[in-house]
Amino acid sequence: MKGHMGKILRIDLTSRSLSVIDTAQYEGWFGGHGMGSAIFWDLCKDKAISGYDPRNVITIMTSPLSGTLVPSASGRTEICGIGIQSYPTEWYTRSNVGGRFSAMLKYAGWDGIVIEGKADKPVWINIINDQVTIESAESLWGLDAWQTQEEIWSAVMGERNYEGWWQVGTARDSGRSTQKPAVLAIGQAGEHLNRNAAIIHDAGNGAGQGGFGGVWGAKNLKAISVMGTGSISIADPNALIEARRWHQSRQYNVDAPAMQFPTDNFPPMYGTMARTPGFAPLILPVTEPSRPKGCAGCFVACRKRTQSGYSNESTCVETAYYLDGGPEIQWKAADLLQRYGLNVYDINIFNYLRELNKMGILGRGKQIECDLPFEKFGSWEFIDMYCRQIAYREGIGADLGEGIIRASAKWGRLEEDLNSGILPFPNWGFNEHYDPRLEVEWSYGSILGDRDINEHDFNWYVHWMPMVTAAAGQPPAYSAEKISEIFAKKLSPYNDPMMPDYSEEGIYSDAKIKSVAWHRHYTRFYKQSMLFCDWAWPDLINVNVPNLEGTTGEAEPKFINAVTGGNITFEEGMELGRKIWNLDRAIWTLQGRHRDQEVHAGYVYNVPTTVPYHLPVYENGEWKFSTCEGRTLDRNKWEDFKTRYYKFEGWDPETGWPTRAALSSVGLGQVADELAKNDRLGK
Amino acid sequence: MSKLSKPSLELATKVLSELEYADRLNGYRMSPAVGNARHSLFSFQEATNFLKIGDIGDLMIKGGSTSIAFINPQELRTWVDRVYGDQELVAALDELLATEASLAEKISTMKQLMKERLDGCHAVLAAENDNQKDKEGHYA
Repeated sequence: MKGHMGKILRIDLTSRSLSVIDTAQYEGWFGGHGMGSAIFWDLCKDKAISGYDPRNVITIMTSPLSGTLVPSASGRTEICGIGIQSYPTEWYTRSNVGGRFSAMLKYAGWDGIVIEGKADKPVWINIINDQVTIESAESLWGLDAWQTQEEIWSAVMGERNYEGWWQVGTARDSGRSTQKPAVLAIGQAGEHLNRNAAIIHDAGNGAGQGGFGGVWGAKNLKAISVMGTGSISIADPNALIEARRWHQSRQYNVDAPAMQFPTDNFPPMYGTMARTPGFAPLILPVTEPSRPKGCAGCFVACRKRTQSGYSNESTCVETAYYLDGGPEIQWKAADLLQRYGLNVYDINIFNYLRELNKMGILGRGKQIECDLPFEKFGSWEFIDMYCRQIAYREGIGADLGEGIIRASAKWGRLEEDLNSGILPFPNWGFNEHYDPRLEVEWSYGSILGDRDINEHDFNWYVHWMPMVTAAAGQPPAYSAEKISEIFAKKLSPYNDPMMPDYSEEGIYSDAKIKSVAWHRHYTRFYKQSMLFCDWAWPDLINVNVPNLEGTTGEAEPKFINAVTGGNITFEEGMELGRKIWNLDRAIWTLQGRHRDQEVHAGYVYNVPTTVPYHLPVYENGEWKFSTCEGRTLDRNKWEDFKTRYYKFEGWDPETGWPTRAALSSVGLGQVADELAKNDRLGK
Repeated sequence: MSKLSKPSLELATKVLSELEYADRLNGYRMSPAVGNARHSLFSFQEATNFLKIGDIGDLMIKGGSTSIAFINPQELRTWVDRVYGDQELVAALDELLATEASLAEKISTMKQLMKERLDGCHAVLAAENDNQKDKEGHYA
C-alpha cells in the first residue's frame, strides 16, 4: 500500500534486540490504532497483565497519511498498550500525540515502533533512518522532558546549530536536513512510575491519558529519538494536491470570511468553529507577540509560539488548569506539566483537594497529611510545589502519583466522593470532560470503552456553538433543525435525523444507539487509525460555505485514496472502525470486562445538573436548543440502553462480550476462537 | 451608578471573612475542549474575582480562546441571602433575575454588584480601623 514505508521496528528491551515486522502483514488495518491493536493482539500473549509488567507491549504507530500533505492528518502518533491510569482495571488503552514525530518516523523509513520487555538500566532509542541503536540513558535519568530532548538533540546533531542544513549520520548517502530529531521523552513523573505520567514531544505535545509515561518508566525507557531524511511515495500526488486545495478552499478565508462580524470584520463564528488560524491555545490570553504553530502538514495551525517562550505549543487543558494567579503564572504552570511529563487531566483536582482541606480532612496534621500551602492557592509557589511533589512522589505526591482515583480509594473516600460528585470522575477513574448526564456520546462512549474518549466530533456543533452564542445574547449560528438535517446526511451509514436529540427521551433512543456506534466506529478508524486530528475532523458543519455542509464523507476517502492508491469508500472505512472497535472489545473481554462494570460514577445518576448546558433537543414535535438543567441519567434506562446497544453491535446482552457472529462479520474469526478458548465468547 | 448603600459594620465583617465548607458557593468555568468545571468558592471576594466573561465582542471574535466563569444567578441570590442575609443585594439580584439579559450581561452585572458591595465593606472596615486607631491614640 502506498503511504506505508514497509517496515515496523520491533524492540525487545530485555534482550536489547531489534527486529523488523513487515508492514504488509498488517496492511488491512491501515495504521495507527487498528494496526497497533492487531500487533498487540498477536504479541501480548497474556492480556490480563498489569501495564507495569515487562510483558506489556506498547505500539507507537503512524498512518499512511502521516508525513504527507493531507491537512490535519499528517502529524499525529498513536500509542497503544495496557495503560496504568484506568480504575479499577488497567485497561488496554490508547493515547495520541501531535507534532512531527510520526512524520519523521516515516521519513526514517518506519511505519511504527513496537516496544516489548524491560531494560535492566535506563535507555533511549536512537533512530537515524535505518540505523537503530539502544543507548544508555543513565545520564538523562532525572532530567525533565525538555532537558532530555535538548541533550538528545546535541547527542545526535553534535555542535551543529539548528538554523541550517546538516549532514545526518555518518554515511555519505544518509541525507541532509534542516530539522532537529523528533523525540518522545518522559520526565520525572514517568521515572517515578506515576499513573498520571505523560510522554512529551517537543515543547507542548503530550500523550497523557493512559499513563504511558509511567509505563515507559517501568520499562526503563527514557526517550525515543528519530531523524529521517527519506520521503514517502504517494499514489497520486496530483489528486492529493487537488484534494487539499479543494478542502482548504472551503475553510476559513482570511481575505474574505464567509460571514461578516459586525465589528472589525471578524467572523461571527468563534475560532473553534470557523477555525481561524491560531485559535488555540484554548484559554491562553496571549498578550505578547506570537505566531501560529501547526503540526506537520497542517494549515489550521491551532497553536502558538510566543516571544517569551512561555507555554509554547501548549494547546489544550494544560493552558487552563491553573487560572487563579494571572496570565504569567498560568503560562508557566503549563510548562511545568510539559517538563515533568504530567497528565493535566489527572492532576487538575485542586477543587477536590481544597474541599477536603476546608472539611478539615486534608492538611498539615490532618487525617490526610498534606503540607501544600492552600492559603497561597493561585501563587507560583503553590503550583510549583504541587507539581514537584507529584512528579517526585514527595509529600502528598506519594499518593497523588498513583492518580487521584487510587489516592481517594486509599483515603477511604472514593465511593462517597464519587456519589456526591465532589470527585467528578464519571468513567473508569478519568476526570469529567463534558457533562456525562447530557452529552452522552461522550459518557456512553467512554464507559463502553477504556478511557475519557476526548473526541470532539459532535461537541463543537451541538454544544459549544449554541452555548457561546446564547452567552453572548446572539442567535445561534445555525438551528437545531439544521444540525439534525446535516447530521442525517453526514453520519453514514445510519443517516438518522434523530441522532442529535439530547432530550430526556432522546439520550436513550434507538437513534442515540446509532449515534454512539457511529462515533465509536468513525473515531476508531478515521481519527485513531488514519490519524485525522480531533480538532479538525470530522468536518460536519462548516460556517465558511453557504450550505453549511462540511467535507466529511467525501474528504476522508478522497485523501486516503490519493495517498494509498486504493479505492476505499467512507462506509468501508466505518466498517473498518467497527472491526477495530470489536478487536478492542475482545481485548477488554480477556482483561475481565463484563457489562456489570459498565456503570458511571454515582453522581451521574444522583446529582442533577445545575448550569445551562445547551444542546439540541426534539420536544413536542420541534427541534430547539435546551439548557438541559436539572437532568441526571436514569440507571434503569441506561441498563436498557446498554442491552440494546450490545444487541446493535452483535454482543451478548448478558455479558457485553462479543459473539462469534459479530467477530466473524468483520473477519475476526480467530479472535472469536481465542475468546472461546478462554470461555469468554458471547452467546 | 451606585445601587447599594453603605453596609453595616457587621455585614462588612461577614462579607470579608473566609467561609466554612458548608457555606461554600459553586462556580463553573466553561471552556471549549475542557467542558464545565465546578469550583468551590470560599469567600465573597473569591466569588467576585471568579466571575468572568470577556465583552461580547471578545467572545464573538475569540470564541474558543476564551472561557466563561459562571455562577448561577439564582444560586448566588440564595447564597447571599442564606450566608450574609444581605437583603439589599438580594433585591438587586432579584431585579436582575427578572430581566431577559443574556448570560454575558448577567455575569457582568453580578460582578459589578458584588464588587460594589465589596468596596463598600472595605471602606467601612477601613473607617472602623481608623476609629480604633484614634481611640487607641486618645487613651495612650
